[in-house]
Amino acid sequence: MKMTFSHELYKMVHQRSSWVAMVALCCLMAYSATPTAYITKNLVAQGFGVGQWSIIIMIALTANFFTMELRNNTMTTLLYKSPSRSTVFLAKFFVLIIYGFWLVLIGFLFALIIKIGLVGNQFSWQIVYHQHPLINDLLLNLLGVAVYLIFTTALTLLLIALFKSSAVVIVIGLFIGFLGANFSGIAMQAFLHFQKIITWNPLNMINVINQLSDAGMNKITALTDAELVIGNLVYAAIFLFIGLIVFRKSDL
Amino acid sequence: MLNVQNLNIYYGRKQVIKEATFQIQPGEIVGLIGPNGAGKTTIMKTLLGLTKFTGTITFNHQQITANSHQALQQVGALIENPAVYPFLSGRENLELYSRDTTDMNQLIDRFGMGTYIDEPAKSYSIGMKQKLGIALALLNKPEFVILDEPMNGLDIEATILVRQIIHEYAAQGTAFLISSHVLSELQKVMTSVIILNHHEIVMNVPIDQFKNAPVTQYQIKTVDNEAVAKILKGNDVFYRHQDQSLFINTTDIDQVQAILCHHQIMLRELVPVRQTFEQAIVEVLKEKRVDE
Repeated sequence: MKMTFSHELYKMVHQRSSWVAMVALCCLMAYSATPTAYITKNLVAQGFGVGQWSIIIMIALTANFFTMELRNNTMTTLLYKSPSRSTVFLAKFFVLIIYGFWLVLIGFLFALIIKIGLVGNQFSWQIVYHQHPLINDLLLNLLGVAVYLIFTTALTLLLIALFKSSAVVIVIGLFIGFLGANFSGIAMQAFLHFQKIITWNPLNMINVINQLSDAGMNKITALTDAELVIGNLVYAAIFLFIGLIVFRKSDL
Repeated sequence: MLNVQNLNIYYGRKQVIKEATFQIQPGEIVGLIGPNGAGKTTIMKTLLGLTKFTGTITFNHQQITANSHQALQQVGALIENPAVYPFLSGRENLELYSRDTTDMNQLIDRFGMGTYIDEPAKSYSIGMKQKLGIALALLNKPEFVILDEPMNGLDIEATILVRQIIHEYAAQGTAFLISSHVLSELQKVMTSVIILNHHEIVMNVPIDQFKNAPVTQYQIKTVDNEAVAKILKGNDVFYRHQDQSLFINTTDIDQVQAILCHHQIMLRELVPVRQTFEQAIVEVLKEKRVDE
């Protein structure tokens, strides 16, 4: 496992898309921050869209990190050189999680730079927003993003094990990740009697990004912060488990 | 070393390999031959634990299954196309799986890749990638190497080099399982042959069996082939005129020599013609079709 993990890390560091993704994240955050006249406290608290952009990037990167093995005919070598298929799948998952966290860290640092460069003293880090100082809001948001990245990465790996096509997985991933929350809200409103059950649906889990910093969100999610975090992690574990089974059984 | 017993492979409900049984010993170079779709690559992938199967595959008495690859630590392979990451250099591709830098550097030198090994693999030609793919299969001095169409994309010099390297490794005890459509090339390296047709092994024999094929005709060249042709016709001896030579049936060769002697026509060449390896393989495949 250690060897397979170090191989995956080596590939992640050496592939150009890993570096392009960091630059893309910074560009997209700068895009979100312009024009500067429209910068709000909420935008600063959300790190200039670091959450949404890093999730989109991670869905694409996860899909590519897997399918490039199929494109380059390297999956065969990777599998027979590794102790088992599960080892390969888990090594890829952990490397992607580490990269996802790294991306969030880069996003955080760039958010600080944008704040200094484009916002200045307009909103102090110490002003209270959602019952916290603004900097705490940002950090809690990023914590939520990190938790949801675990969910997204596991889901994307499951989808890629099923469909083996980056394009299909990116479309489904983005749909579930971003439009899914709306469907979840509609379903919870429409079936109030079953709200206690529906609230645990996977489409509701994306709200962890906002709820950790904004306690008011629990009226929409009907879950506590701890429940949302646990829900995300349990779903990630389920997706990972199913993905593992699919990957072990699939012909490559 | 490698022991395959009653191997059955299914893709869905379709059986793609039926009851394949064979063994490969250290130093052996086994050619895997068969028409397209016979199941050559499937067998190779299965030996690497990449497909589900029934039956048993053991390597050095350790079992190989679709989910247990421990026995494959001493196995190298090139399946279909070279497994090369385009964003890494050739050296980085090798380093990824190398356990011995000296061995890796020797391979780079032996394959003559020194001048471009540090360039990104995406800039390599097909032949360069193929050499890198074969070098990857030979990393860490494996005990058993599987090569699927190793000569693909190689120029004549590289083909000769790869053949030499295969012989060198085999001399040190490495066993090979090689598939190729270029039978003449395969014939130059292999010590035994497994012929696959319609998803099953139809022949598993040493290559010597083909080298000692019986003489079917004699090719003769004389000082005056035209005159000889007329004389043979007059004596009711069957012959075939082709490429400035006459081809005589084996049963008639003594009589032909006596006739030439009688007419004082000098021989310039007398060459026994044996069935070629390719002809023999085609015949084996045809026989199997007729049996069915």
